[in-house]
Amino acid sequence: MYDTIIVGGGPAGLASAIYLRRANKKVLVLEANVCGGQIVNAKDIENYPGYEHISGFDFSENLRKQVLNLGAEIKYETVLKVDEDKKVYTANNVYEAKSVILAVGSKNRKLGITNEEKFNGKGISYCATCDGNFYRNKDVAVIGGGNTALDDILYLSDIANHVYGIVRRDTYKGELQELDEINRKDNVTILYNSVVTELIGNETIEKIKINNEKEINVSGVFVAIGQEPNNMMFKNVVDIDEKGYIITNDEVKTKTKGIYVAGDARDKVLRQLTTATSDGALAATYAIKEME
Amino acid sequence: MVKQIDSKEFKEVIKEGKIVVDLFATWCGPCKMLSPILDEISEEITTTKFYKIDVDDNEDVAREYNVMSIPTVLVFENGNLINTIIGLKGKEYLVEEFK
Repeated sequence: MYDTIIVGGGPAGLASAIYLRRANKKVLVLEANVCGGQIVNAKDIENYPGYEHISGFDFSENLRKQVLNLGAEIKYETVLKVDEDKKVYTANNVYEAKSVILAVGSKNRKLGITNEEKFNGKGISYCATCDGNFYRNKDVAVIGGGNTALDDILYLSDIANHVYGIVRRDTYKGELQELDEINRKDNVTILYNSVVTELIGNETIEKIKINNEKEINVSGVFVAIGQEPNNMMFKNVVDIDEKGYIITNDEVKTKTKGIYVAGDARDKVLRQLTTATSDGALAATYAIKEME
Repeated sequence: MVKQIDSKEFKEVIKEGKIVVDLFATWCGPCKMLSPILDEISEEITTTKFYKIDVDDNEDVAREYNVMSIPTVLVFENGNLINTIIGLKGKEYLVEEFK
């Protein structure tokens, strides 16, 4: 029997583990893939207080080691279900705890168009810093209108021959400083009010169709259209909003006593590293209070 | 530990038996996360041989197998490519794929 089981080993979950271990609680973190979550893909983190620069890998590894050094247990198993009695089910095990923190994060949103799966890893990429080098001196497109898209455009503009920024609206919703920098690049073209409607190619992507009419020749398409939640397996214990996020009472409590949610999985205004760790600390604090 | 090889060795080692090859680069965060997982699995699945190859120094292998995303894990059986796993995956998933 654990005091708290944390589902998900990203920044929110591991921040919870730190607070819980410092209160001497018995903690199990269940992670389906690897610790760190989405931030692993970040080439350089520049907006986390206290760090001017740190890579996503270093950040994740530091966090994982910190949690292990504090005495938390981490197991690599996919959680399939959590019930009201705080029993947590994985494929081969059932774990019990007094409280559960759901920190399951979110996953890359897909374009949802034909051939996306076929070209995954063959022209379609969801991680510019991982795959950018394969497109050296080639033409690429970055789809999306937020900070990640701007980051990707900037990063790829130093590698690729030409970068097309493809954004649905007539503006970017991101850090203006980056947009200024992008506007100064002569190998970047931004196409506003544009949607990719078709991915064309044989073995790999050769061109894309914009707004069902114009075709552009590109070898790579970087998808940066945000994240989507992955919470439906918890709908027996939490309420889920129309977008799929777990509904909380403005903080991190769910409708079930002793089940909390932290990080990207919950309904909130800002999904960032800072807010993820903040949620984690808060969820741990509530869990500790309730166990007293 | 998974042994690192170059493209010349690669052509030799895939010829016989079941072989897993991790295509990585030193600057790739997700690749760094995958590496210890494969080290661990390689200790457990002893019927399969595990290797890794740095795509920056061995572009020909990446090109031959149309690899445009890393990490990518290629699984061979007697020289034939039988599975391609693209992206960072957890141990549970990988063990299933390698069976």
